[in-house]
Amino acid sequence: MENTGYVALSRQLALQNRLAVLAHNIANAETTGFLGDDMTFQQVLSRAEPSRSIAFVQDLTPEPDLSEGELRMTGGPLDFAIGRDGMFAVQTEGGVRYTRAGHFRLDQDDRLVTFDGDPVLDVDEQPIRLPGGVDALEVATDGTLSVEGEVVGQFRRASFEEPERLEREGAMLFRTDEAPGVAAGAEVHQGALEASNVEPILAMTRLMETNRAFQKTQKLIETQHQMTRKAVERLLDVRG
Amino acid sequence: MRALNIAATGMMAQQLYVETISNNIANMTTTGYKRRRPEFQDLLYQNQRRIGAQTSDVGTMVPAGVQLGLGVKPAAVYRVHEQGDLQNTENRLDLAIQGQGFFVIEMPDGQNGYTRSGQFQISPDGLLVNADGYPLAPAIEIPEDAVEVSINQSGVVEVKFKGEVDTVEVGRIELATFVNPVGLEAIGNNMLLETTASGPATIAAPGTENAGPVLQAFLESSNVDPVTEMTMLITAQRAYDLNSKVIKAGDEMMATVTQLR
Repeated sequence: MENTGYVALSRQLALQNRLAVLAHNIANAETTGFLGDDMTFQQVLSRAEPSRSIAFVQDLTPEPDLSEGELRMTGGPLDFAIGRDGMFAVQTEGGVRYTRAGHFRLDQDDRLVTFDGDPVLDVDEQPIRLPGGVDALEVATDGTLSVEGEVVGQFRRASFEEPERLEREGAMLFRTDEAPGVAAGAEVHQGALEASNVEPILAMTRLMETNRAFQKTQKLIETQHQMTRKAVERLLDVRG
Repeated sequence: MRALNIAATGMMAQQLYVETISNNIANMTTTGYKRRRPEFQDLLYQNQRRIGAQTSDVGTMVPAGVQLGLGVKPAAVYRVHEQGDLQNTENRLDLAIQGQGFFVIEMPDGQNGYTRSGQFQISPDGLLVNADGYPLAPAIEIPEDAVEVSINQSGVVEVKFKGEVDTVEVGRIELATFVNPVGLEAIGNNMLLETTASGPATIAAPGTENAGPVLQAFLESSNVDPVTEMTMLITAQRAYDLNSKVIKAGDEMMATVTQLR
């Protein structure tokens, strides 16, 4: 009899997590290069009696939604957008990380760095240096950087066979144990940034959906509660 | 209820966005002002079910775990050092830089300040000073009996005395350039200071390297574009709205729970 309550509880906990995921997406609706995600639910079977099985809900965050956000033209010489499937490689203290936020600047050593000061890597996993300044910087769609016709480096365009294994680290960085390949088809565009790929309309409908699902589950608990109470009352009646 | 705090970080970020826009709009007519843009990043993630964790002794693992993000944080509010429009002012002591350079100003505490605002005046001592009365570095003195001041594109300051035909050179304006001008620290009054992030100042004559020529009788207007600011304001306001809806949804879900008997 209590199983109804536990199943409903597992659903409510999962829905609460989904709300957190949606809230996180919406909070990052204006974050450059942000990839949203959503939650999938899976059922966990538990055998209550030999003849019947009960399914609890378990939540899983699937792979980040890798669809491209809209490109916003900024005209900034150090703003880069990378095409679908590609990611920029960044050297952090903890090792190489990957990001789609191509919003870079130069540090005092002429290195191309992120806003946290982590150097951006080229195809040989070395920091990209731009000693010639940014005025004459040109970037080909394959990520080759050249200053006044002279090639100074090429962006590492990382691609992943299992993007679902990418782990988020915050500050727009992803980490993985997989050795990434080269995303040959991912074009790099200078002077543009990729906006967050969170769709406000989808986010809103999912938000409402989650809210309603939560209330429905609540209703289920109430119904079950009433049934229990009625059963107890009947039993008392019978005895009386 | 995590969603409430996450949405709160979202609302705070959008508030910062609006604050930045309002500062840009307020400085729309400030000489040499560079517009600011906020940059956001996602906050830390909580692993509830770690990706790649083993699920059995035979080595199967979790293909996609539960990672809950905790919201958004501002990473930077940076200046966009794009050239502003040049405005003819007819004032012989107004200067504009068409390039990446900065005027070097000697601050009262002895260190150098850098500015794009070229509204100069002559002080009682005959020095070229900015609107706050701080002199250009190196100092340029305009003799009292000079009738005309001309400054060419290379920053050479020449004066003409009454009754004379030839001009006399009295000094040269020097400009500073930086590897990373975004790293300069703004201290108000159109003034910027050197930091480790900006790299040391490279002094160059106007027109050489990236410094750009100096134009006499012109001022550089701010590079704030009102249309862009307005569209950004709308985006920021809507995003703020969306985040408040999340708080409402979270609140409703909590209300549902409290009705539980």
